[in-house]
Amino acid sequence: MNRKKVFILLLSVTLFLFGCAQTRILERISLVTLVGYDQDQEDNVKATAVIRQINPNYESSIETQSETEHTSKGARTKLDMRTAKQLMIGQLRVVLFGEELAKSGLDEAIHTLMMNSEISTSTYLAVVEGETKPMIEYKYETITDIGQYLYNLLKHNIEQQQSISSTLHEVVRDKYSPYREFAMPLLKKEGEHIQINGVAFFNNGKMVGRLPADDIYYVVLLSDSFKHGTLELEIPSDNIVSKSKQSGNLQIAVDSIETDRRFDLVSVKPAQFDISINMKCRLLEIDSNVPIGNHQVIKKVEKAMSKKMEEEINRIFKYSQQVNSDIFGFGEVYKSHLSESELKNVKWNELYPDIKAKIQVNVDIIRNGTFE
Amino acid sequence: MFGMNKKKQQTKITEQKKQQTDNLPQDFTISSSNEKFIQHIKQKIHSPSDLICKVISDEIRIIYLTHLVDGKSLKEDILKTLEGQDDWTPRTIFEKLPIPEMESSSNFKTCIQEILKGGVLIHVEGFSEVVIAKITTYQTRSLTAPENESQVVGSQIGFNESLPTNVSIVRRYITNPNLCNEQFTIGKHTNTSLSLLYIHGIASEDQVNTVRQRIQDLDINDLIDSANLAELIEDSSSSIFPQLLLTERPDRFCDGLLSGKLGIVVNGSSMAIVSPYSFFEFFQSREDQNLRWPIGTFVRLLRFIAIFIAIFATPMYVATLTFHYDVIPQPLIIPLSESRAIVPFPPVMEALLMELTIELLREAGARLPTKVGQTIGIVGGIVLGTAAVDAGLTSNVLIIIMALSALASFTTPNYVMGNSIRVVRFPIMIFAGFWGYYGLMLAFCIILIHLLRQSSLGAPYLAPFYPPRWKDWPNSIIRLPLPLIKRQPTNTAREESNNALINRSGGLRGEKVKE
Repeated sequence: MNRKKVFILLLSVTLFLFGCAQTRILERISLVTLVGYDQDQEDNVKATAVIRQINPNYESSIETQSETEHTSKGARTKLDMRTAKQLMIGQLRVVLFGEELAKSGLDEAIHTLMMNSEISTSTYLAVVEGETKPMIEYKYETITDIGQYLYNLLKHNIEQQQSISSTLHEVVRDKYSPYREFAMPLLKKEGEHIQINGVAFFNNGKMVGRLPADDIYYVVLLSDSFKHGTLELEIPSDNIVSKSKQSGNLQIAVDSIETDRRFDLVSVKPAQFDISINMKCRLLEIDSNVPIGNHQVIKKVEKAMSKKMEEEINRIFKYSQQVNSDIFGFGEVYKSHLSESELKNVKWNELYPDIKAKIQVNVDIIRNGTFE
Repeated sequence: MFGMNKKKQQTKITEQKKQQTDNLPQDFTISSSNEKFIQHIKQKIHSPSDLICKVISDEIRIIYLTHLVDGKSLKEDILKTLEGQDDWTPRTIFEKLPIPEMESSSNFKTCIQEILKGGVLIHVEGFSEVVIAKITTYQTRSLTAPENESQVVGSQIGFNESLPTNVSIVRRYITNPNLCNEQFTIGKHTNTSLSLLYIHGIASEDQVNTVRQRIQDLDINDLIDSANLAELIEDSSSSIFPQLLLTERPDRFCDGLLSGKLGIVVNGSSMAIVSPYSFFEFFQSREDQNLRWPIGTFVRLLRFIAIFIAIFATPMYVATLTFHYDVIPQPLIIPLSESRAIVPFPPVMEALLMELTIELLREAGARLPTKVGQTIGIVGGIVLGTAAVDAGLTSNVLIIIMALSALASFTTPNYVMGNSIRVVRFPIMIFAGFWGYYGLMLAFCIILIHLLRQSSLGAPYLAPFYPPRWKDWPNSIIRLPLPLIKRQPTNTAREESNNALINRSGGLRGEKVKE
């Protein structure tokens, strides 16, 4: 009897709730794949969206729409009024921010993105030099779908560790941590192309500085363990090549196999870190005059590389201190060494510019036969 | 009026019958008089036209049903012997007739049973004992390859519809004094004989007792096929999943016996029952054992993956396209949406329509004569498939997914289980169409709970995965090399059988006894 009641209850629930879930049938919605936010007058936000529509004749078309409103939701509602099918944001892959907006603060924008459960946390965020609207709306000769293009551009560069990773998840994680700041890749439209042009440093949600594309390798090296990536270096050729053939500096290219990065807190007050980076790499390109078969020479090359890299990393570390943006996670290491009560009065923001760091790089060339 | 007439007629008939039976001996004794005995037999079986009574000498009469006995044996063994000598007594007949299978009985009921099965009754005047010579013969199908469970590598012999033949095949596979054969006759109208086979010392006593009990407790009128018997004796006949294996492969049957399972062969049915059988064993084929073990393992794993493809491929498609466009990988989104661009139905309707078509095709293919079957295949496969896509009623992607899941569902080596897998997809599809992945998981959970509740002869149905019996895992998931198979599956093991069996008795269909 009791079982019968339960069965009837379940049956009726099933029957009545069928159809209650809101359907979002793929071809009956418009998919937003890319959104760009720009600063407009009077605190307004200008949103530019790339929308993929599916036509009945088996084609999909791309259109861009732009709207200005106080909130991003308001902008979306306005956009909705201009599209034939309901706008859905679940396939959003890339969110771009104009430089001006980034400089005046992204807190609100990121918060809104995070609050929207439809948006995947693996969406890439990036800053655009200048405004996003002209970049998105420009009719490129080679790019048919700019949403997809930008996604692929960011994805493969991040996977190959040629750019820092800035998914929504990572940015939000760093944003809400009082011991860390986030960074985003910086994009630039260059004629008919779009390229990654550097790294944007943030402090408290505001863009405070940038480093050029050439420095990205070191930024990535310092912020994460490294598995891929190619490095080009210029090292002084003294002692490596015989004097007669010397010609200033040596250009070499290496391919990182494995990099182990460690931050060690050696003293709390004043905060001092040991940064040790052990890199195992293989030689890709080197001047043909260098006798790479010689063990002694390789040792010298390793030494010269370590020295050069130490300099570079030190420069980048100093820059991040200068703009007060701890994107590398020193604060997290610091926090993990101190108890909750000790941390009470610590403001990492104020502390960071003054911390000291000893940088040590160990380069180990484990293979040198790979020439492409 | 008509009804009343009928009633009257009926009562008349029963009265007549009563009178007739009044003449019959009440205590099942056999009359010592020739004439009376023949009269009794005739009365009991309503003097059919194929009943022959032969007078051998003044004292000896033989009675048989003409189409059931072996004429040659009757003539050369019985008639010649009996005519060559006088003053026979039932005892001397029993001793001297050169017939391998004989019985001497003084029970009238046994005589009736035996004559209906093809026995020759030999009655001697003055004795209330009858000698029964069992020289039954009837046409049977010759042994052919099993058509529904074909396999490439391995024996190509299948059971046929004759109980003695089937038992003899089993005996040929397993020449073992411990192979027990218990005969039962059930069905009040059909008197179907069946054999319960097991290997004493390997099979669990408790399970043998359970099956024997369940068969003995059956109170049924007719039994035509072993599938009906399986339904009557399995633990839960309301489940859509079979709990006993029905196989027409003697090698699979013997495999079961040798791993401690029990087998039942029913006369008139080419499918033999093997029990207990767990869910995952249904997806193992005898052929896995015949292939080299890495290949056997590969094929077995392939089949396990196929279960999931068969059950979940189409519902996943439905759920994803109806609700979860956001999980579609970016490269897939354009082909998927473009193929569905002009389909007028929501995905669940589209999928149901096409799945139904496939089921119709399958059913039509199974029912149609072989010659017409091919035409239907062409019409269904090519015309319907391509035309539906061209007309914009379904998407290309769905056709591919559906074909894949149909293929996957046919990899199940057992047709009955394959059917269950195919049927179970429909509710899942509907759930997926209305509630997305949530509905999908809900339906999956319901099925999983259902499976967990099932048992086969009291042994857990989802063994060895639940309850987790680690030691049984290797040989269930992969096909172990033969030297490594050292233990009997726990489901049929004797030492654990006390725990594995639920205490039950007297339950027709295995109802649990209230304590």
